[in-house]
Amino acid sequence: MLEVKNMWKSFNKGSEFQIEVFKNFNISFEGGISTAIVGPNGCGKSTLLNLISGSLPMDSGSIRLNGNEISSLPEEKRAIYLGRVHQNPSLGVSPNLTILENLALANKKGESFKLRKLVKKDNIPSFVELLKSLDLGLEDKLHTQVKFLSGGQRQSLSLLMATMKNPDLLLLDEHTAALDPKTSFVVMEKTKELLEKNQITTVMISHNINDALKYSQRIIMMDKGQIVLDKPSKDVSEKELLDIYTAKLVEKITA
Amino acid sequence: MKKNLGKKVLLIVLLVSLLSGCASDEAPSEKSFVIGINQLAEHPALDDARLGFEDALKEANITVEFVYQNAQGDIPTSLSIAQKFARDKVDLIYAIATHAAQSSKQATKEIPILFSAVTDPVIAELVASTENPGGNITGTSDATPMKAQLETFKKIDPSITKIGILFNTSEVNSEIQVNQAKNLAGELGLEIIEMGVSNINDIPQALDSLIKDIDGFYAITDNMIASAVAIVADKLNNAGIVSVGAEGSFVEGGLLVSDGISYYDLGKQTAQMAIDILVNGKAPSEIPSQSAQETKAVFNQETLDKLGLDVNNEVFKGAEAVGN
Amino acid sequence: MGTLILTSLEQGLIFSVLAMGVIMTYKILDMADLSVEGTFPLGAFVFAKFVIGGLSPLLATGLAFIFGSMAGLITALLFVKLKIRPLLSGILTMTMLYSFNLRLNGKANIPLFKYTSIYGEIQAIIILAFIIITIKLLIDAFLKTEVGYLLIATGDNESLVKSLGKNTNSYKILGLMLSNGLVAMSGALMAQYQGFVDITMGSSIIVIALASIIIGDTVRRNSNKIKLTTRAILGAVSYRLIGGFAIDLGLSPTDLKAVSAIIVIVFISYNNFSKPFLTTVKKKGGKSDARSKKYVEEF
Repeated sequence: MLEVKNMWKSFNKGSEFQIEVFKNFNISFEGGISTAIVGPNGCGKSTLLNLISGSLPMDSGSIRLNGNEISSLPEEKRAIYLGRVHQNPSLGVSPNLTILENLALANKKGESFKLRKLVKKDNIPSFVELLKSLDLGLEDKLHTQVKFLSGGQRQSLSLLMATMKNPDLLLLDEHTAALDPKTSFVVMEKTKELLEKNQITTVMISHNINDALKYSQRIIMMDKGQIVLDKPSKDVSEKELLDIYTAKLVEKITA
Repeated sequence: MKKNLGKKVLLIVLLVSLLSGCASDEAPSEKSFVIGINQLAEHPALDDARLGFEDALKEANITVEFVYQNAQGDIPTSLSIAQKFARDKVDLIYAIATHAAQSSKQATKEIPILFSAVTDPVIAELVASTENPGGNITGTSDATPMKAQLETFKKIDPSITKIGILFNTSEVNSEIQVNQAKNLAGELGLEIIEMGVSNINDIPQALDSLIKDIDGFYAITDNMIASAVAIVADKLNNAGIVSVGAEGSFVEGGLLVSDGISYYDLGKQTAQMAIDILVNGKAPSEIPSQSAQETKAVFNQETLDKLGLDVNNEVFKGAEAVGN
Repeated sequence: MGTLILTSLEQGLIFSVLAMGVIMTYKILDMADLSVEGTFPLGAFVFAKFVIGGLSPLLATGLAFIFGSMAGLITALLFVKLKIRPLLSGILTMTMLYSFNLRLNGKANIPLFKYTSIYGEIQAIIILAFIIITIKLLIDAFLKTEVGYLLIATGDNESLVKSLGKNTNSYKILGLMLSNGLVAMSGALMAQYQGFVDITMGSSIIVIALASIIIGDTVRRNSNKIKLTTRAILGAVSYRLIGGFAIDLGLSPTDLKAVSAIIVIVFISYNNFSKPFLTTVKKKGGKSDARSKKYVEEF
C-alpha cells in the first residue's frame, strides 16, 4: 500500500528553465493491485516512479509505504522494500556475472553482506526452480555470463531478481519497451504470472495501451503532472484511451 | 603440419642462437677479460665515463671484451643487467651511476665491481669508507671540488653573497651536494638559497622566483638541471647573474665558468683501478675509492662578454674558452 | 637462458602483486587509478623506515600494505566525498605522496644492504612464489564472498548494487584501499629485492601494470574460466620475460624501450583483432617459442 501526499517537484528550480512537474500531487496504490500508468511523453509518469524509488528527490511531500514514511530514506535504503525493472535490460543485472551469481546476489537483497561465500550449493535447486518458471531454458545456463543473454532473457532475469524477495512494491518502468513483440509478450505473461502468484503491489508504466489494459487492474492516465483518468481497467476500452490521447495531441498542436 | 612445425621450431632455435651468438664473445686466443658495463642511462656525462674507461684499457694493450648494457633509467632493468653479468661470471662489472652501482652490489658479492659517476659512495653504502671499501666494490666518485668552485664567486666579485642553487628533489646526489654547499658556505662568507623542483617544467618559474633573491648561481651536477641548462643560462645571463658550474658541460650550455671534473678523465682514472684488479690481482677492498684527480677549467666567452666581466680576472686565466 | 628466466620470473612475480592490485581498480571498478605511481614507492619507503627502525622485514612489508591502503583511502575520499573525478583524485594523491615519501626518511635514496630481507639467504623465487600464491588465493577467495561480489557488481552495474540496498561508495573505497595496499606491498617486495629504495621507483609503474594486465588478457581472451588474478600473474611474468629476452639477446640499449612499446602494441592489436594465433601456436610449440618467434619477426 503506497500513499503519495502533497508532492511538489520542479526541475531547474530558480532558473529560467524551471519546469513544475508536480504541484500538490496525491496518489495512492492499494496493496496487491497492479496499476498501469499511461500518458504522453513529459506527463510525469517516469518522474513519478523516480520520486517513489528515490532516484530523484522531492521538493516536498510525503511518501508512505505500508504506513512507513520513506521519503527521507536514500535510494538504496528504499530499494530494500522495492523491486524495480528498468526499460534497459542491462540495468537490472550484472552483465559480467553469471545467472547463478546474479540470482545469488538478488537473493541477499536487503540483508547484510559479509565475508562468506556468496554462491551456496544448497540454494541452487531453488534457483533452478525459479528459472524453470520462466520457461526460457535459463536453468541450463546457470554458468553463462549474463552479457551473453538476449534482451528478453536478461529482462526476464531482471524480473525474477526484482521479485525474488517479495518486495512491498514493484515498479515496472516500460520494462518491455526495448523488446520485440514476441519477447515482449512472453515477458508480460511472466510478469502477470508472478504478480498473481505473489500478490505484489505493482505500478507499471507503459506506452502500449493494449498491454496496459490487459495486464493491470487499474488504469491511470496522466498529463502534465495531473491525473486525467483513473478507472478500473475492465471499465475502460482502448478506444476511450486513444480518444483522450488524440484530443490532447490536437490541443497541443492548436495551442 | 607436423613437418612444418618441426622446421619452424628449428628455424627459431637457429635464429635465436645466432642472435645470442652476436652478443657473446668469440673464443679468445689469449688471456682476455670480459667486462660487463652496466650504465644507468644515456647521458653525456655517463657516456663519457664509459668512453674514458674503454679508451684507457685499449691504450693499455689489454685484451678486453666489453659487454655494454644500458638500463634506460629503469632500476629493475639495471638489476637484471647486473644479475646477468653475475651469472655469466664476467671478470669485472663497471657500473656507471649510483643506481647501477647499487643494483650491481645487490647482484653479486664475488665479482669485482667498479663504479663511476657516483657522488657519495659512502652515503650510497657502496663502500664502508673511502679508505677501506670492504667488500667487492670500489670506484671513482664525481664529487666536485666544491670549496674551490664556491670560492670562484668572490674572486669574480667580492660583493656576491647570496648563491642560488636549483636542484631536482628526486636525485639523491643533488641533496648531498646542496647540503655540502650549505656546510661550506658559512666560512666562505656566502649564503646558499636553495630551490627544489620535481619536474623539468617547473624550472622556468622556480628560476624566476630564485633570481630575485640571489646575486650568484651555482649549478651542481644534477641531471635535470643539466638537461635544462639552456634555459637556466638564458635567464641567469639576462638577469646579469654570475654563474659557476660544477662541471664543463654547463659552461658549454651557457653558464659563465667551471673548474670541474671531466667524466672522460674520471673514466680513465677508473680504468687504472680495473687494471689493478684484473692484471695485478688486487681485490677491490684493497683499493680506496677515489675522487677526480684533475680538474678542467673552462669559461664561456659570450657569457663573459654579456655580463661585462674582465677576462683578465685570475679565474679565467688558464681556462679554455668555449662558445655557446 | 636459465639465468634470464629466473631473474625475469622473480621480477615478474614481484610485479604481479602490482598487477593484482591494479586489477581491482582498472578491471573490477573500471577506473584508472594513478595513485599507484605514488603508492608503489610509498611501500618501499615505508618498508625502509621500519626495517631500519628495527622491525622484521615481514612486519615491515605488512606495514607497507597498510600504509598503501591508507593512501588508497585518501584517493577514495577525494573521489567519493569531495566528488573529484577519479583520474584527478589519483593524480592528487600521487603528488602528495611524492613529498610524503621524501619526508619519511629525509632522503631520496636509501640503501638497504645492511638489513635482512624477507628472502633471507634462499633464492628469492621460492619465497616469492609462496607469497604470490598466498596473495592470489586470498584474493580469489575474497572475490567469491558476498562482499567481493558486491565489489565486482559496483564496477559492473552500480544501479544493481543500489537495488540490493547497498551504497556503492563503500565498495569503491574498499576497492581503492585493497588495490593500493597491494601496490605498496609490491613496492616493498621490490625494495628488498633490489637492495635499496629510490624515489624514482614509481615512474612508469602504471605502464608496467597496464602492460601486464593487457598481456594477461590475451590468454584465451574470451574464456571467463581463467581468473583475473591468474591473468595478472601471467601477464606480469610474461612482460618481464620478454624484456629479459631482450637483454639476454644483447639488444642494442636504445632498442629496449622501443621493444617494450612494440610488445604492448602487438598484444593490444591481438586483443582487438580476433586471431587465435597465440592459442594455436601455444598448442604446438609452447609459450617461449611463440614469444621468440614474435621477437625475431620484429627484427
